[in-house]
Amino acid sequence: MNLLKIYSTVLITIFFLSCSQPLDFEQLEEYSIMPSISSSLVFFSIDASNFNTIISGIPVAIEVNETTDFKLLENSFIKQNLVQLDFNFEIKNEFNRVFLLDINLLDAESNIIHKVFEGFEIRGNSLDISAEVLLIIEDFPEVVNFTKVQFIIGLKDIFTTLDASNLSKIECRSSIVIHLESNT
Amino acid sequence: MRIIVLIVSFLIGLNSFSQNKQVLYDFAGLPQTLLLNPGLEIDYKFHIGVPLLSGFSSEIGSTGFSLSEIFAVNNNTITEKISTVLNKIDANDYLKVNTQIEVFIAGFRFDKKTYVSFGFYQELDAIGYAPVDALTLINEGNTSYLNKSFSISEMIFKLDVLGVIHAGISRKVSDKLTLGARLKLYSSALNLETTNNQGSFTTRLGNNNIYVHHLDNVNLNARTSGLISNNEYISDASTYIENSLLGGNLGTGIDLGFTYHVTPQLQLSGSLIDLGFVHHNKNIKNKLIVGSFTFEGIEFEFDSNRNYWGELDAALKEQLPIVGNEDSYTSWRPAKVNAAIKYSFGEKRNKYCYDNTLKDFYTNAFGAQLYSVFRPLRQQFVFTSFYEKSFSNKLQAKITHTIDDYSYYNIGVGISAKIWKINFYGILDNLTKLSDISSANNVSLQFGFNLLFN
Repeated sequence: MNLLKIYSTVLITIFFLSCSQPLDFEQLEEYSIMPSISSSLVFFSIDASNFNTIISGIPVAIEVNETTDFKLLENSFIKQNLVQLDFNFEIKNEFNRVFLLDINLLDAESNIIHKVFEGFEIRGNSLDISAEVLLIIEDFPEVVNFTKVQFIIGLKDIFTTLDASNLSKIECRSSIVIHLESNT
Repeated sequence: MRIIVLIVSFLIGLNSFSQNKQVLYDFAGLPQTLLLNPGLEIDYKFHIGVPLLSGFSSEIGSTGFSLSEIFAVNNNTITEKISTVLNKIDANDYLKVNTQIEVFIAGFRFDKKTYVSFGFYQELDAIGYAPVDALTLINEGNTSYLNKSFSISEMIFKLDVLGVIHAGISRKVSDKLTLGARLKLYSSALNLETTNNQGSFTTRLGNNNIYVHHLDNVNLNARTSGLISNNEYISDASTYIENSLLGGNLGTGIDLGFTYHVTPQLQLSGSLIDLGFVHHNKNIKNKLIVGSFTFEGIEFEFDSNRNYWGELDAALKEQLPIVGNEDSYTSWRPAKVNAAIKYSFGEKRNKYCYDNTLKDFYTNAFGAQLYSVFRPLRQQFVFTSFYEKSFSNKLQAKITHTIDDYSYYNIGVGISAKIWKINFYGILDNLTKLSDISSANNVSLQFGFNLLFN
């Protein structure tokens, strides 16, 4: 009986005297994930035929325009935790002509809410143009509402048309990096 | 992510109430040892466990990191500490939870050679392996990981909540050999599992565009039973309890075991536990994603009026469809194997048995045990060496040293005492970590009360 008392006492004492170094669970409040998600965006290759049209029998230089939905920011988690957007562009211009590029971010009603590029000059015979635009959401809060991307490209000198037989091309590649910071 | 960390931390925090059944195995002739080996020798006439108090066991462990590595107060920020842990763990690390509550257990001697036992317990068993690639993707994104294939196959998780009705028989077939078997009827209240997944996500530099993203050979499945009924989550706890009482998805299993005396002092024993399955056919909701998909961006054809995003969405749904079904499925129980060698020595004493005869026993014993459990990713092994001491007929103690996935120096101790007909046993594990439980991957406590009658 004495042994039983001793062992029970020792066992219970050991357990209840067990201890732990100080732990601070409130640290978790300071923890946040900061993923950077890279995604391809838009790419295209266009030639002289895209920029010329015939009006009243006369060749006229035009600009081309295309828009696509980009609905990643409709995701509520991304929208709420977006801190920065990086746009990256790689452009190759084989023409001996200067083009102008506009890139607009549009909302669901197709209203322009931010101009990423406005009249960005694409130099002639340039095969290695690259550009990066960083948008910090704190500075441009309206950007979180963008759901469409619009590209407009046209000749800088609209009075001189491209030779329709010219086989040169303009190629554009683009990507977006979505920087998030979430402590939820 | 913070929720994941909280859940993991909470579960690890429960370590102070976890247990290691290697201490209990073949310890002091306790009735609960029959659930670890139905072929162990029982010397009493009958037994009754104190309802809900005869056996509580919980084993919760994590490999790869401990609680203090994340929450200790030091100069590192929480983000640095979690990042360190994420860099340290690999896909073989896991978090395991197993809890059993004996609702009742009883047994009686059928004849001179045969002991019958039966009972009912409820069990929660869960294991989740560290989906390191998925955690990295969530935590850091893919930008810094060009050309890295984020594996989907690391996603392995299984959870069972079930009730088990069991009846077993232990029969002495000769002076040297005792055999035992136990039949089990499982009633699953809840099963969640995702196993045997395949596939990867990779971002590479592209040709047509800056990046190209590949979801290759994806085969991702998630099966649930008992969670959703009529398209609504079952939130009533009583429903889960009812379903564990033969109201759920049923299955069957068997335990087998033996004890063999090579000499009066040398004993071998072994068992195979939970060789069985549950067939799930009620309240099923499964999801399956199969296919491959490559995305390199949206290719503009100017002035085309195309719905690029709609086309992309349609292609994704066609090539990588998410399919839901309510197909029945079978879930295997995690089978366990026990093997032990025990050498008894020291002073020879005797004790009264059920038939009022005296049985000789030695006051000391040492030996080794091997325990293994079949888990989704791989079989897990635990090696235990032990020393057992009988201070009297009514007071026994056992000390163990265990090597497992959690540590190489787990010291455990157990005592079993009998006052009149009342037996009490208590087991405490990982003693070396008691000075700082938060740094332990596994700490255990186990106890129970029985009434034993000779």
